Parts: sequence; structure tokens; C-alpha cells
Amino acid sequence: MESAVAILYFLCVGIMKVTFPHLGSMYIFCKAIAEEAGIPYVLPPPTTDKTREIGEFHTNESVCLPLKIILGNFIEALDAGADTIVMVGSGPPCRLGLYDRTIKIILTDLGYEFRWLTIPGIFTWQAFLQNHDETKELRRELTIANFLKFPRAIMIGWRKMRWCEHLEGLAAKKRAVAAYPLEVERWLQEALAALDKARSLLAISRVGKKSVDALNEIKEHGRKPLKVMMVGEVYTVMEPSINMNIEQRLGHQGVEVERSSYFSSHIRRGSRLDKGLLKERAELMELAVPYLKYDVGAECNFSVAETVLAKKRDYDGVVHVYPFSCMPETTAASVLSTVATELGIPVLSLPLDRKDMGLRIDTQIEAFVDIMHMKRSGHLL
Amino acid sequence: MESPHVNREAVPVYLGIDVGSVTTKMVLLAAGSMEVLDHVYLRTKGDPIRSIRQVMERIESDPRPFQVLAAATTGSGRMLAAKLIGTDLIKNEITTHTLAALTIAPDAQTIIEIGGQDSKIIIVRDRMAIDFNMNTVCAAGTGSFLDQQAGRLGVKVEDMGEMALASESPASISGRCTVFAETDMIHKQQIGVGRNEIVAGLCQSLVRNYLATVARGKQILAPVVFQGGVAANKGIVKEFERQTGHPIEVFPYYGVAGAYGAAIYASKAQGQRPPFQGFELLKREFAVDSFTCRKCEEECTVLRLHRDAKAVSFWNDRCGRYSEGKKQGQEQS
Amino acid sequence: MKIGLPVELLSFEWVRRLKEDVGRLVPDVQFCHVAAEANSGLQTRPLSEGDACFPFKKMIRTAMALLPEVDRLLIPRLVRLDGHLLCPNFRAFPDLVIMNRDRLPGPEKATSIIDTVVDISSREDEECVRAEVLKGLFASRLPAQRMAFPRPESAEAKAAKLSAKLAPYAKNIALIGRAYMLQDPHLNMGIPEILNGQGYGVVTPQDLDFQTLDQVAARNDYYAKTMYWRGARECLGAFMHVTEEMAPAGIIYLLSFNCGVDALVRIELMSLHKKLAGKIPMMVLVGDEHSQREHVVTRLEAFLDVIDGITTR
Repeated sequence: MESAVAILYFLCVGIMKVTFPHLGSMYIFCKAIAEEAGIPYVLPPPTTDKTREIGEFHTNESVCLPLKIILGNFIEALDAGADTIVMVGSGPPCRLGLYDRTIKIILTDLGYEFRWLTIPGIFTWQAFLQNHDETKELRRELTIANFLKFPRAIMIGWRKMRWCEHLEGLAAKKRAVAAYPLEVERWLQEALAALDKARSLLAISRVGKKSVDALNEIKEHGRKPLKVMMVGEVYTVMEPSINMNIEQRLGHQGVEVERSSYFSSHIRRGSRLDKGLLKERAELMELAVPYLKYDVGAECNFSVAETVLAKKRDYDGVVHVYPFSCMPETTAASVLSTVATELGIPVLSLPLDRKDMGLRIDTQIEAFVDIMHMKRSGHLL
Repeated sequence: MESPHVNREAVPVYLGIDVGSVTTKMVLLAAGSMEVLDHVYLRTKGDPIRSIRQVMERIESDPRPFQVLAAATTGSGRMLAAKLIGTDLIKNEITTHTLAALTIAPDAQTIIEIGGQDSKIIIVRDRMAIDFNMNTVCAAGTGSFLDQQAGRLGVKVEDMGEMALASESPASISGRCTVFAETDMIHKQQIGVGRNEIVAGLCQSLVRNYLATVARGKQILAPVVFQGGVAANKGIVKEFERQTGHPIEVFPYYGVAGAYGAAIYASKAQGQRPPFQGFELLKREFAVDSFTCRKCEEECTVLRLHRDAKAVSFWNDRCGRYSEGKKQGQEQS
Repeated sequence: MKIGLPVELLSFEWVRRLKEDVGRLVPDVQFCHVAAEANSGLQTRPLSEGDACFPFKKMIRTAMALLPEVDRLLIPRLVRLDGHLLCPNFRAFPDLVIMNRDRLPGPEKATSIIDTVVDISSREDEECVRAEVLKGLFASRLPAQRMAFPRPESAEAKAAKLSAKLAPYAKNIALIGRAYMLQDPHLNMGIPEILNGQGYGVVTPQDLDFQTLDQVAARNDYYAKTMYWRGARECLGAFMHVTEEMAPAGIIYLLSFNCGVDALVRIELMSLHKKLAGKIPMMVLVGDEHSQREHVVTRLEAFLDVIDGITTR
């Protein structure tokens, strides 16, 4: 069980004022664990334009957007009194694997004092030794009570994250068919807030089920939605504050968005414990082989493979999101331009960088929706 | 009450308005024949309300009495324009440009559009748009780049095409960023490079930048249609032909193609349309302002339209608290 | 037989050894590194190159232009050299060339492409990869591999070369950057010549022994958090090595706009430079497709003025 390994790592954490990136379901997960285990934490202020600006200011123009935002989160959290940073890490060959190393350098140079723990994205001995070293000091601060509470805390965190992702997935479907899509947003906010408050496994599933019932009550317009697959760099796909709420924007135009990357799936893939999941991923990657004969790294091959899959499943299109200058994904974008023409599936490639892109993105999404409608109906508007 | 604009001889028309960041365009199409009855291209000068009002004044003062059957808006100011003339036909400028190009040249396979702040490429196959791309926020590959540099060189932007054509050896000018281009240009001026050569260099640089950042390796196939204000510049047209190896077609109304496409879109609108109320704009006082909503961490900048000093419409709020407040508030409670 | 090997790849020391090896074993092969002028027209054709960095685009364009002129195009898939990874773009390079080749209308479509996977951490790996490359190039007419694969230049030989190169100059500047940037006059914008012309010797990471740089760079590794790209280790190691051992008058870091790896290396170098507390001036230059010599000249002149100011003070 992947959570068993997660427990092992979290056992090493005994913390004064812990903080974590304010990203989607990842933060609900971390917050739940801290709360349940009785560890004081500082919730970073929600990710805003200011967060992004802080990140931009302390890096350079070719650094990728997720790094800038996570850095901004941490600076805001440290300013709010946090002294211990926990983040989920990753490995080679793309830049994700060095986010923690880079962020540590920047924060240290800024004069912050903090302790750091990377939850390894890929479980290796090196990573274990690193955690052992990182938590040398922290372990002394742990109380027996903290230790005893961990297993339950992790169970609760994990369940919350899974429910939260499940509800997000349902919202992505419902938005496209709701008579008033904004009702879905309100529902989602309420549902996530209720999940966040739930303090037992039973309460979590009760809240979850009740939310699903509430969602089913929302009125639909009865038209058939367009369906797209969202592919691309993990953080950009998962996190609305990085992808400029693309899922919502598409949903409000009557487009159902499906994606395969969630924080929990990211952790499950990295842990390499779920054999079924690994096999599924390997099979998926085969679909990209006509275009990419070698694993380029990170999600590149999957972006291509999922596009082929979307065509097979007869989806209306694919939205490819990635941070500007992301190395594996710029390659995926080049390949996708050929795949799109060859397979005849519309692909919208969105490299994301600047904050003032809202209107431009809406224009592109609207035009993309028009293209998909035209393709479906076979005539110009 | 009968509108004064409907009488027996009224000419039924479709209206398209394109409000860009730099210019505002309007096209009136005759219903049925789809002939262009009037069109206008004017500078927005940072005041879209004024420019839309000018457009409406022009239509009203036309000796021919027009009956607007339907109106549509497009461009980055499409939302505001739609609120002002009271229509719900709003279309993004990528689609309206496609509609325009395919109406005039049904076989077009590539559409290049360069406007004031925006530039785009639209790939068409079998008479359907299949792919497109738009510039990022940088102005390097757009019309305002030429505007700025024309100002700096002390030449009229309209003359730049002829100047570029007159040059034998264009100066090499960087195009990634307007700031670099400017440094380059000043440098070239200082070392005595001729004006024509510099203008030709600017054209080259703009096209190179467009192909590298906007077209980004998309397959450009002939027929290529070039639209947008910059298509007036013959130097740019020639550069496009040289760098893509394809003939470039520039049709009449290239500068108002977005508005033209919007008018076509209006003509295709289904169902019974309410009578056109756009001329209200001339009788009342309209103003727009904005405020930052602090109800949540999103901190949206909400835009507010005032009619005769009364707030009548809101938009740009992500949660719909203002824009759809009433409609959904009732649903909820 | 004419073998195309894009000039950009020659900046990798291993590729140069491979070329030497093939040339020794099969004397009648002829290598082409850039296309003749006539074929550069191919470069203006739409290429599926997206918004990658300029060196990568340039490499794809060179490979495409070589296609009609050669019998085989040798574009190894560089995954790992000297035990360290290369930027992921190199892994996709052959695929992008193949994809573009298949879209070409002419006979160049038929040119075969040898895209052997290069994943080298040891001497044995080098021999294996060499065998694979030869198999790809010559198939049945495989030459006997009597000689061992050429060894890299020894640290001593490199050191001797460097001191000969620096001998005419009283002061030196460390020019840090990737091999493919610094060894390509188009990408380095003539910086080494300009500096030489101003009386400064130029030290690049490629002048130094990689094993040494690798060990120096390892000091900043932390368990799983190793700097895993070879090029990044080279730059990082070179920065640390030259500042500690060579006392250059200044440091110039040349990188390519949009390079993901260098974006992070830049942060590390700036941080290291901060610790030097202004003892050695440093300048970062970002180059791309549109960079021009004049921009560079102005910046270099200003930088040398800064250095002079510091030296005279």
C-alpha cells in the first residue's frame, strides 16, 4: 500500500510550524495530516497574482511557472511564521526533480531560516538517507503522541485527497451540462470546505456522499457537451492557479474536461507500488511509440499517448497545457502539431507564463470550442 | 413604440463591430446580397465607448435608412461593445476572421492576421478551421511595433510599405523584443544606414518574429490570406512571400475583416431577434469603471457599465456574483 | 559513403571521438556537417520545431538540410554521457527529424537515419554504443573493430593545451556555457574573439577536464538531489573550479533564452557568485535567434570597463 510508505516517511517528521505549497488537493492532504497529528502548521495564503509575482521576482524569465508559484507560496508562508517546509519532490530528467534544490538555494540567499523535508516522488535509498538527514533535528521535537497519531492522520489525509479529487472530477463533467455552470462552482467550494472540516473517516465519506447527492440536484440544460482530454505537465494540469482555471473556463463553454493527473495519481505513480497502475501507464505509453521511440521524460510521451487515446475514444479535442520553456513539453507540443494533423483531432497548445493572459486565453478557448463544434457539425457555424 | 429607424424604405442590414485595443472597425452588410454597404476603420485611442459611439453616429447619419436585423461584436473589447449596443451575439476574433476569409476566399488554407496588439495564424483545411495560434502578450510581431518605430523614425506608418519596397539591402534588426529592436534601430541610424533600409529591416524582423513565435512551425499552405491593418503594408506582404515561398493574397476590406466576419456571424444568428436598440447609445450617457472585489482571494477586477450614472451591467467577475447575481440568486433562494 | 553528422553534435567530445573512430575503421567515408548553400532553402520550410531553444531548432534545421546530400544521417540519441543525463530535448531530437523527414515531398525522404541510443556511464558502454552505431551505418559490410574506441583526452594534455592557449594573455576571463553554445560561432556571437582582441584569454568549461569539474560539482550534491544534467555539472563545476583555482578577471555566463536547464543553473551560479562578495565581476548574457553582435559588443565593452575599474582600483 502506497500510504504505508508515506507513513514511513511522515514518521520522520516532527515539526514546529510546518508549511506546504498551497496547491489543489495536495494542500488538503498535507493540512489534514498536520491537523490530525497535532502538528502546528501555517497555511500559506491562497495562491494569487501576488504569489506569482514574488516567484517571478526571485527567479529569471526561463524558470518554469510551477516553480515560481511554489516559491511564492513558501515565501508567503515563511513571512507568516512557518519554519519548516514540506513538499513532494520528483526526479530526473526534467526540472521538477530539482525544484526543491533550487528553491532552497533561493530562500537561503534571501536570508530565511527554515528546515526542509522533501517527500520523495520516487522512493529510493538515496531519498531515504536524505530524509533521514533532513529530519535529524526534527525527530527530537516529536512527542510520542505525534507518533501514535500519524497512521490515522495519513489515512484521513489520503481519504480527503481522494474524495476531493473525485468531486473535482464530477464537477468537470457537470459544469459542461449545468444550466447555470456557476452553481457548480458554488457547490464545489461548499463541498471542499465541508470535506476540509470533516475529522473522521466516517465523516469524510458522509460529507462526500452528501455532496454527490447535492450535485445531482443541479439543473442541466440537456445539450450534449463537447469532450476534451487535458494533457501536459503534471503541475500545470493539476493546479487551477497555474493553468489559469482552464478546466473551469472550458466547462463554462460547455466542454467536459477529462484528465489523468491528480496529486494522488502522481504519488501513486512515483511510489511504484501499484502494479496495475504501472502496467496501465506502460500500455498507455505504447500509443506514443509511432511518434516518440524513446521516453523523453516527465509527461512528454504521455501527452502524446493521451492525445492518441482521445482520438481512439472519439473525443472532440485535446488541450495541451505546459509552462513556457518546459523542456519535455515543448517537444510534446511539436509532436502534437503533427499528431493533430495526422489524426484529425483539434489540439489547443497553451504554454503558460504570464499573469495577464486571461482574456487571451478566453479568446483562444472560444475559438477552439468553435472549431470543435464545426468539426462535429461539419459546417461553418 | 416604433423605432424611427424602421420605415418602408429601410435597408435591412447586418452589423459587425470589432473593438480592438488600437482600432475599432465596423462593417454593414446588406441582408440577402451580403454586399458591404459601409465600413469604417478608426483609432480606439484608449476610449472604446467614444469610438463605438462614433460608429453608431456614422450609421445613423447615413442618408440611407438602415434597419439593423442583427448585430454582433468581436475583438478584445467585444464584451463592452455588446453591452453598449445591446446584443448577445459576441464572437471571438479568431472565428470572425475565419468567417471573413472563407467568405471571400473559400479555398484559403492559411489565414494570417496582424492587428494592433494581436497577431494570429489560422490553419484551414477543407474549408474548416482546424488549428490556430495567437501571439503571447509581447507586441514584437504586431502592428503597434510598426507604429512605435514609425514614430521614432519620424515617418508615417502608411508610407512604410513603399519605403521598404524601395530598399535594396534591408538592415538586420532584432525582432524578439521591441526593446532590442529599438536599440538596434538607433544603432543603425547612428552609423548612417538609410531610412528605407531600416524600414525594410523592420518589416523583415516583424515577419521573422511572426513566423517564429506565432506561426511556430504550423504548416503554411497556399492560398494564404493576409488580413488585419498591417496587411496595408506592401513591404510586409513582400516579406511574407519571400519567407514563406507562397503568394500572399490581400483582399479588399482586409483591415475590417474582423468586423466583416462579425456581420456574417450576425447574419447566421438563428431565431427571432429582439429589435435593435443600439442607437440608444447616442441618446444616453454611458461610462465604464472598474473595482476590485474583495469577497474572496481571487480579487477579480470587476467591470461596471453605467447608463445615465446608474450601474446597469457587470462583467469580468469569475464567480458571477455581479454579472449573474440576480439571475442565479433567484435560482438559489 | 557520405555520412551526415550535424555540426552542432560535434561540440560533444564523445561525438568527435566517434567520428574519429569511424574515419579510422572505414577510410572511404566522408563526413558532412553542414549542408551546401543550395540546400539551406529547406530551412525555410515549415518545421515542427515549436518553441524550443534556438540551439535545438538550429540543430534540427541543420539535420534537415543535410538529408538530401548524404547517404546516411547519423544523429545519435544522446541520453547520457559520462554518467550524467543530457537535456531531454536530445532524446527527442531523432524523432523530430524523422517526423519532419516524413513530411518532405522529395527523394530526401528516403535517406536513412541512424539514431542509436547513447547511454554511456563507462568504458564498456562506449564500446557497446560504438558497435551499435557501426551496425546502423554499415549493416552487413561491418568493419572489423580491431582498435579500441578512442579514449578521451587526458587531464594533463588538456591542461597543457589550456596553458598554451592562455600564454599570450596577462588576464583571463572565464566564459561559462554549454559546449554547443561556446563552440558555435553563430551561437557564441564571437565573444571569445572579441575578448581575445581586447587582450583577455578565455577559459571555457570545455578546456577543463570533465572528471575534475564533475567532482567539484559533487560538493553541492545532497543525497538524491544531485545536479543530474551533464552540461549543468560542467558549468557549475567550472564556475567553482575557476573561482577557486584560477582567479579570472571576470566571469561571463552565456546561456540560451528558454533553456530550462540553464535557467536553474543560472540561479545556482548567481547564488555562488553572491558568496564571492564582488571579488570577481560576473555578467550573464542571454542569446537567441534574434541576438545580434552589436548587443553583445556593447555589453562586453561595458563589462570590460567594470573589470578595468576593479583592477585599477
